[in-house]
Amino acid sequence: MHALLDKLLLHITDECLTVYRWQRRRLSRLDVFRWGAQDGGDLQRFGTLLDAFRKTPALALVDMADEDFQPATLPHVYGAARTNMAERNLQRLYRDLPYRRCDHQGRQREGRRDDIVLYSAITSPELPARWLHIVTRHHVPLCGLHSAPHLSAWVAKRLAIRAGHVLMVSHHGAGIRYTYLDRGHVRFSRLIVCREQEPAALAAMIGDEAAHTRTYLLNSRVLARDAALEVVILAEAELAALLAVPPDTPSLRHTVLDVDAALQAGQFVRCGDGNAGDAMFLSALANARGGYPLAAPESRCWMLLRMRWAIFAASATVAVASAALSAGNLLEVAVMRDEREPLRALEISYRLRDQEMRARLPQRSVGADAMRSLVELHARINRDGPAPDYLLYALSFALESAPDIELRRLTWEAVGEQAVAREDMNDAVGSDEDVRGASLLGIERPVAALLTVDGRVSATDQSHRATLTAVRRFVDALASVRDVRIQIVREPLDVAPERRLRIEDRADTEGARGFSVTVRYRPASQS
Amino acid sequence: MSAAQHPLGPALLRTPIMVLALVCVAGGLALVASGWLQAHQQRELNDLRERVAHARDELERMHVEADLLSAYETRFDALLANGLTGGEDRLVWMERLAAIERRHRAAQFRYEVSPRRRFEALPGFPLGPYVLSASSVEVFANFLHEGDLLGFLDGLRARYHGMVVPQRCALERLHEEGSRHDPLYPRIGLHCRFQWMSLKERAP
Repeated sequence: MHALLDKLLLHITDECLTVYRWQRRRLSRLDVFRWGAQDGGDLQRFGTLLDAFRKTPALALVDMADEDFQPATLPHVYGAARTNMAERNLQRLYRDLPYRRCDHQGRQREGRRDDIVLYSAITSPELPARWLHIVTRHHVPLCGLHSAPHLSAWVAKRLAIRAGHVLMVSHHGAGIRYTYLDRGHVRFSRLIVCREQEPAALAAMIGDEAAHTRTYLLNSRVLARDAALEVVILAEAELAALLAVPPDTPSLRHTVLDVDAALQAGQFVRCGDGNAGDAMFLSALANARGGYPLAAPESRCWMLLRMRWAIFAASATVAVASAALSAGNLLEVAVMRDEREPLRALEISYRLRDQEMRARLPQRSVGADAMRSLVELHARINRDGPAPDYLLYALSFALESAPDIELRRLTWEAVGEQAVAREDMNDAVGSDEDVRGASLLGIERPVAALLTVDGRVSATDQSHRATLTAVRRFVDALASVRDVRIQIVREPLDVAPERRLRIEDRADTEGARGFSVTVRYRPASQS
Repeated sequence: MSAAQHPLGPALLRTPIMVLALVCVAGGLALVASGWLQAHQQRELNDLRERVAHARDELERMHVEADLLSAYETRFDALLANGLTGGEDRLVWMERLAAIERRHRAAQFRYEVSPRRRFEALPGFPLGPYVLSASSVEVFANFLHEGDLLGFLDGLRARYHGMVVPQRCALERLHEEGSRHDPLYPRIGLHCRFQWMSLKERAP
């Protein structure tokens, strides 16, 4: 995306400034300007050109000999400490130079594993500063200042140069550049300015300077003595043919790449018949990020342009978001409207059927619920209401088994649930509260009952044994009836061994023939 | 040309800021309007759903009522025809008790009716326009034999469709001195207490 943007590429060399336009991966040269023009016409033309590109971001590429590189290491720290340390070192190394940078290039493999850094600076900043000042003055947004050595890593990667130690030799309009790459990171670079030389002399110089550069790298310990260096020479076919490449050794290898073929292989963008080496680095520039830090006035226009884009982007985001949310709401409205019609039809259908049913039903002053309640209440009282019938049937059944029993008094009483649960049946009588609460009416549940039988034995044989036998037969018969429990309240004679037995007058047997029994009836649904 | 006047000066931001403001306002208005419309439609739809649910409930209620009517109407009408909902007409009661007394040859027949008591609410039995009441009645009588006694009780219950609910009954064999000289002398003494239930339409 970054590479697709329309950009101005400013190629600054010691001699001139060449302006290119990068538009949709096409590179076109717009003009060449020289600072030293006597009549200042170049500067005026440059200003006019810049005025035509006020909203086009510009990138500057400095391809000059005056650039210094200082490989170093730093203790491995993070954040502000790392930044402060790097800034201090930059200040110490390049106190008055505005274009300076510190690049972190990984960590050492041994020892403290310090950070490997490269300090670099453009040591004659006046020339680029002059051009950039004009750019700033014409309010062209300058979004980066790069140097050819720092773009070499990108170029090498694009050319698929994978050796650990590479000395890349490239032929530019400004001269021959030697850049040493350590595992893909730039460690050193130099530019040999050479103008209008014969190809043979140029070829000889390339070979010589490559050897000199290697010697410098070894002596300055930027390149380890046991490291195998690969010298990659990017040269036109004509120049390549003239190169006298020395034989390869374990520590030195040479590779000559036809720069035209490399341009195609690396998919670089070429500008007409311009210098192929420059085209490589201009392609790298169009894709580059970062670069040398710019001063506030230089980057102000770019910052404003970015803010403008950011605000437009925010506007677009807000517009899209609100449009999406509104569309969502409207979609929901449409869905709800679609849902409404069937519901209305359903409501009308229900109401019509309801009216139809109402018309069919007989008009009664009493509701169906009340009707049902009344009918069921009547049935419930009839079914579950207290009645002496069952206990009288039980009594009748028992009397058939005990014909000698004569009844004197019967007391039947409906009793409440709590009362009937008590063991002592003498207290099991219905209270007014039970009646008031309708629990003794059989509405809530079947009602229990208590029957107290007072009787006497009227047998001919008036012996105590016969009397007791008759009472026990009567009680046993009663107890055999379902759902009843018997309790003898008073026996004719208590012959239990643990009780006192007292007979005063043998003739008075009447008192010894009476008894009292309670019969408790608890309906099956209560038990 | 100063930086402020230049198109790439602060004025550069004027257009995007205005666009942003416009977009925010327009977007906000669109959101509010569509949100209001959506909420309005939602409310209408909820109302409609409630109305549909209510109509469906009403229809179901009508179905239930129709089923209840077909199940209970005949029996209810029969109870109405038998005067179950006639309320507590004590004069009629007195006449009916006197008739029962005569039929079962009860002697020393006397009774006492307590003030009527209303059951305001019976759980599970919504009686609609009717109110259930009960009066406690105590009856004292002497009978010739047990058959008369049972007939008396059955008569009470049958006459009033089971809405006479006995609560307590005591039978006692009377002294037999009198019965030796008079065969029609009562032999069984009865003391009964029962609840006399009645249903009456609630006063409007």
